[in-house]
This record gives sequence, C-alpha cells and structure tokens, in this order.
Amino acid sequence: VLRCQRSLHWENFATVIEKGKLVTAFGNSVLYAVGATLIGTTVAALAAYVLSRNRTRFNRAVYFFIIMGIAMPTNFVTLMKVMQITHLINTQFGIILLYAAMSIPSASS
Amino acid sequence: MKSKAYPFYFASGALALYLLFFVLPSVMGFYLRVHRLEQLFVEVNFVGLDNFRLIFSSGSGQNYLRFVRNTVVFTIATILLKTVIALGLAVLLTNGIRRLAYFHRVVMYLPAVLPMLVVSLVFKSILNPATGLLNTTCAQPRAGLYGAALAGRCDVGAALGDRRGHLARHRLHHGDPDCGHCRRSRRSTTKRRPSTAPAALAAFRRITLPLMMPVLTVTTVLNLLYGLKVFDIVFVLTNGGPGRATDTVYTAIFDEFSKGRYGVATTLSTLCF
Repeated sequence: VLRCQRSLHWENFATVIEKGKLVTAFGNSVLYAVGATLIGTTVAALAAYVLSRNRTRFNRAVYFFIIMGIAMPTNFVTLMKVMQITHLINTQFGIILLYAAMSIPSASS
Repeated sequence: MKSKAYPFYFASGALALYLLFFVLPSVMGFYLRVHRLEQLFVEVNFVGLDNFRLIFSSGSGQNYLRFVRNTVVFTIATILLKTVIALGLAVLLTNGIRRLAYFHRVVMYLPAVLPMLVVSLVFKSILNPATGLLNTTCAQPRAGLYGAALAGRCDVGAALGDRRGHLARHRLHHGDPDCGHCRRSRRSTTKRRPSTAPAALAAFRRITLPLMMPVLTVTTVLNLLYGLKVFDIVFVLTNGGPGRATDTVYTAIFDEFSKGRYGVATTLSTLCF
C-alpha cells in the first residue's frame, strides 16, 4: 500500500548508481549504441544508395532479399554458434557488429 | 542503365553483415529443425519431422497450438486498439488542441523512450491482484473513478465529468431533471452539437481516413510483426502463467531454449514466419 513518507531519501540514487555499477553500464550502453548506429547506418546507406540508383533486376532482388530480414525471425541458437565460430562471442566488437547487422534490413528500406 | 558511378561493392558491407548474422543462422536453423540436439552441436540425432509432429499434435503435454492462438488474439486485439486509440489521439493533437500543442506531442511520444521492460514492471505492481494500485483503489468506497461507480452514487460518466452523468446526479439529488442549471447547459450543447459533430465525422471519414490509408498500412504491418514476436511484456507481466495459460509463441520458444530443446524451439519460431 502506498503511503506518504516523512522525508525524501535522495541517497537511494547514490546507492543504486554505486551498487549497480551504473557508470560502467551506461558507458557500455553508449559504446554499443554509438558503434552499432555508426556501422549500421554507414553500411546500410552505402547499400541503399547503390541499390536505388542502379535499378537492375539483380539489384532489385538483392533489395528484397535484404528487406526480407525485417520479417525474418532470428534464430539465436545458430546465431550463437556463428558467433563462436567467428570468435566474436563475449566481445564488445561482436555485439556492436550484431546490433549493426540487425538494424540493416530496416535501415536499408 | 547500369552506371559506373554506383559500384556494387558499396552494398557488400551490408550484404556481408546481413548474410553472416541473419541468413547463415537461418539456414543452419533448417538443419536444426529435423534434428534432436542433446548439447549444442555435440550430439545430434536425426528425427525427421518429429519436431513438427510434436507441435501440431494436441496430446503431447504442451498445447503448442494454444500458444499460437494466444499470439494471434494478442496481435489482432493490439492492432485494433493501438490504431483506433492512436488515430483518435493523433487527430486531437493536430486539430483539437490549440494550446501547448508541442508539449502534448512530446508527452505522447515520451513512452516510446522508456524500455518496454520498465513499463511492464511498473504495470506488474499496479495490476497485482492483492496489493496493486488498481485493486486497492477499486476496493476503497467512493475513492477514485471505479470506487464511485461501485458505490452506486453516480455512473462512471459522472466521475468523468460527462453531461449524462451530470444529469443523472441531479435527478438523484432533487428528483427534477429540468432544474434551471441543467436546462441551460443542455440548451447550449444541443445548439452546438448537431451542426459540428456529423460534419467533423464526415470530414474524418471522407478526407482524413482515405489520405491516411498508406500510413495505416505501414503501421498495421509493423504492429502485426511486433504482435507476432511479442515477448517482453508477456514474460514480465505473467511469465506465461497461470500454468501456461497466457504463453505466446515467443515465450514458449524461450522456455524450450532453457530446457535445451533447441530443435523444438527452432521449429516453433518458424510458425511465426
């Protein structure tokens, strides 16, 4: 049951930031977000540029092949196997690449 | 019309990443579908279509088709509710609200910034049957909207400031629906309403809706994909319970993964595709 408290405990924030190691966590979040966005946008923009300017039959097929990824379910078991083979598992670069790859289908459209 | 200015290797980066992280796992998934794995690619037995048979048979302990039905119900219901409510709010934000329009738009967009997980956690505590905010508020007599409705003093409309409820309350208080106060306000509303409301509705149906059709198609497709892939809300709010009554396809997939039945999980994930 919610009840009005006598005083406000601002030190709770400090406890959470310290105990939850939020500084490191936030730094990692920023690194993944910025890295994945940079790689994903760059790569997708390059692809979209070529595919939209050169409307050959082959390029249209490639376009729809990439667009298909929006609806395609991700298979995480085999994805982890791929990450193991490429030695990208448990690395920061690996997760950045993975997030970038996941944004490619919707970014290219 | 092939041009040298747009070489194909520009697309190679996107294609390489996409092939490696999307297509390759999916192709490997086809292999997984017809096998039974004890450990991840250590001990593999060929079982043919047994995984498919397990999912489509009802007598196999788990009723997988029920999860599919849950998912479909969730998808259709959320598409309808989201589109109707959001469209109404959007019309209001662009036409109805004059003052502080940008402020209202920011407020409307704010939930998109919050992670779904946090929202679900907050709602889990609100909807808790024993200690949640919703039920405790309902239980208090004459407290809040539902309390007022339950207490039978006035209808929900009265709590909302609706005119109908206002009238009913007056009738309750002094048995006369035509007291001066009420008649005055009723006259003023009846004079205004018939001239604007049907016209606005007609304008919405004849002009706004046809022009919105392309946008509505896109949002419906996106909502459909989200609904079929729903996982986080269900996982946090009910975790598929009570029993497995509210499991959706993706929470069932998660469950199979954690039991190590990768083949069944992969087969389930193809159902949505």
